[in-house]
Amino acid sequence: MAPGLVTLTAAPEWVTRDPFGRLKRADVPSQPYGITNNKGAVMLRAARNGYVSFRVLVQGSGEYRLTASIRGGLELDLYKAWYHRMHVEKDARPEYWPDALIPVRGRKPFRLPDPENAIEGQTAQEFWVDIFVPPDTRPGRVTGRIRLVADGEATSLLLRVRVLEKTIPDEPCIVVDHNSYSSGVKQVRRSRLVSERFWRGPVERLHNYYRLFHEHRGLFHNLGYKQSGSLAPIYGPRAQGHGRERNLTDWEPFDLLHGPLLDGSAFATAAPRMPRPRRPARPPYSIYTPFNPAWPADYLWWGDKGYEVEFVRGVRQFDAHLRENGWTDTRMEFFFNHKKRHRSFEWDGDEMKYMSDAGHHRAMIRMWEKATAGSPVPWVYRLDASWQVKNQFDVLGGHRNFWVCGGMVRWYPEEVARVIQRGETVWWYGGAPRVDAGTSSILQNAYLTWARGMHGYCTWSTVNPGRDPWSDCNGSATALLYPGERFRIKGPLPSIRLKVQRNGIQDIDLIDQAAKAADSLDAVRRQVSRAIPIPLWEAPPPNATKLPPEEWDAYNLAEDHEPEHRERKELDPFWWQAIRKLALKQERK
Amino acid sequence: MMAKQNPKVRKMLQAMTEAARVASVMVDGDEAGRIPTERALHYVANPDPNYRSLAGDYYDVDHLTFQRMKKLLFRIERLVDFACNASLWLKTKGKEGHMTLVLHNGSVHRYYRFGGSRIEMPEEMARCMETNEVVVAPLYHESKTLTVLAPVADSLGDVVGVVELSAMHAKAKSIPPAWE
Repeated sequence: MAPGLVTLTAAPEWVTRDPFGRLKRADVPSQPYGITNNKGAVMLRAARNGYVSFRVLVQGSGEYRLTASIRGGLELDLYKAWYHRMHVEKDARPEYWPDALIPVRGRKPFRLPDPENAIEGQTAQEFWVDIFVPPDTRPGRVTGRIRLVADGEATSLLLRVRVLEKTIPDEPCIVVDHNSYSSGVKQVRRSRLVSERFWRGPVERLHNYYRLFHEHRGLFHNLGYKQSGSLAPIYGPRAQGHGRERNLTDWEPFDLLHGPLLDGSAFATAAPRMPRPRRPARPPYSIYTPFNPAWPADYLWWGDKGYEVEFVRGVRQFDAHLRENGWTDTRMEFFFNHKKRHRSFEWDGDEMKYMSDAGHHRAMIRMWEKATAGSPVPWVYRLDASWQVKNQFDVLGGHRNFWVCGGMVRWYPEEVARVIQRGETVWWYGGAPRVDAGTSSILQNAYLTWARGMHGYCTWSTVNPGRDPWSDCNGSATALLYPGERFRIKGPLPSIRLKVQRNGIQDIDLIDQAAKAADSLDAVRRQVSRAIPIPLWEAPPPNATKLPPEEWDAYNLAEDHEPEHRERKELDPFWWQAIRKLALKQERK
Repeated sequence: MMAKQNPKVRKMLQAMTEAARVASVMVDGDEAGRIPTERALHYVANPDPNYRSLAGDYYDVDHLTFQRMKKLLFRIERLVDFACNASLWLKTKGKEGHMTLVLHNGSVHRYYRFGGSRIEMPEEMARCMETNEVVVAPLYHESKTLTVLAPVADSLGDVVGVVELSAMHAKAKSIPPAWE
């Protein structure tokens, strides 16, 4: 390409190119697929109250300006993609793939190669375009334009958006959750433990995570306590005194973090440099609480009457605090995350491997039910279950249970159906794909959740992109957003994976809404699952039926149980197109 | 050595040394050895090269023995009037020169690393076990802890492990967030 010549093309959201314009191998579709018509206009269909997205690819070299506009009350957000230099062994040639999205503001010119990304020989730059269609938009055609000016020459892409009558519901029909552990808090001097000023920074950081995931039709979870049971003051009040004098005090740091979440007001503001909130500001679906074996009761008294007295007092005071503040919309999760392998406690709260630990759960459930009886707070007993999920359904069910199941749950369709039938909540959990995985691969999780009739999916770690995600990226499978500080943004940046996932959730919401309206949800689920080559359920390996879970391991099951994303090489990169088509199918008049 | 320390550190170390002496008398090495199951100890000593989580997956303990020991360590660490956490380490059977954490309280530790099954025996632990004496670990350490080690002997008088008592150094600029 001649120096100074810069071109502009549009590409579907599921197609990723590297900084040299080469397609990601896993994104090459079996059939050619474009989003432009024969005159070069970008053709889009969109439901109201949601987003339609595509990519813009600028290729060439030299300085250029890129601007975008849209009519008809639609809102357009433009992001520049960052090319992550993937980790390679010394002297090997690195790959670069885009994921972090930096909001474009103002009219500052860009350059190819991009001096900030500093990739030698870069000839292509991706931009991500989000078009938001407000719920009150009149159905019909709307036009917009992407305009590129380089070397005094202007070129543009015409956008034609067909706004449908369909409206995406405010609340998703499945919960796609994004998990983290004690994020935003490292170390703190004892003298600052109750200083509101000190906690303002960490709390703002956490609120921005909540906001960004919320705006992407997701939920954020942040577990406050450690394996030992210790916790920072923003995650729970101080438990003071002994036995009948045990009291929860110093609520200010906890309220600073939780108040704006539990009354929904945190979501009325956007994260820094992000577009205005488009989703209603409502309290989140559910949230972790600080309860653990060592809080609020002293574990010294475990098994004795003193423990129960301290425990029940603590839970009742916590419950009263929620009620006094009117924080009764969000499900409060009573959840034990500790594992015996970390040597703090003798039983597994999380992913119980040995049924001999069930007695501890039963004891906790009994005390928790005693403490919360008659409360308007929607308490749930959350159990993250993998090895023993089938047995736990039987032994620990029937108590306002909230199950978050490991991948092994795919062996138990009948058991899952039975648990859902008895009114309990069932999620499953796993990982997110790496930055260099197939772009549409992240959509499996939302699809499987809905098609199996489950209520949610928890991505186990989502705010830890690794030590250096920018120039030595480990794949960032444990992050779906990035810190914005590098770009002078005091908040998180979204990722391409997060946006692809959001658009998929929208599609599922449209299908689900239409199916429910026609009273045909089960039939539609069956119809969709016949069209999608991902098995919903699988037969367990032979040893899973022959041996008790206590004896299972990676060898005799022939699989690891770590929450890693499953790549399915047999999937066409455009497999989601069948679902998108169904979601946006025109209503019959 | 103690004379050179600031008074607060000296006072803390004196209190922890006293508590460690109590630990060396009260903690039963045979009982400690009955906490992890044989299979758990096998995988601690012989981690699988292909599946690093296997040692954790097979980690199991005897509930009652664990609880008794945990409660005993709670009581010992409360002999001092500042935040102090106790951990119990045993020699790793089948892996000479290594120590396995059997249980710990709280979040202040010098040696444990999250997810680790065993550690190479630090010099001060070796000294504690060889001499059967309470040992004050080197004062300056990345963990910013003050640490005192107490030997744990079994019914034959063989030293089979140590109790670690750790508290944040009086001069530490930061501490782990905790309401303990």
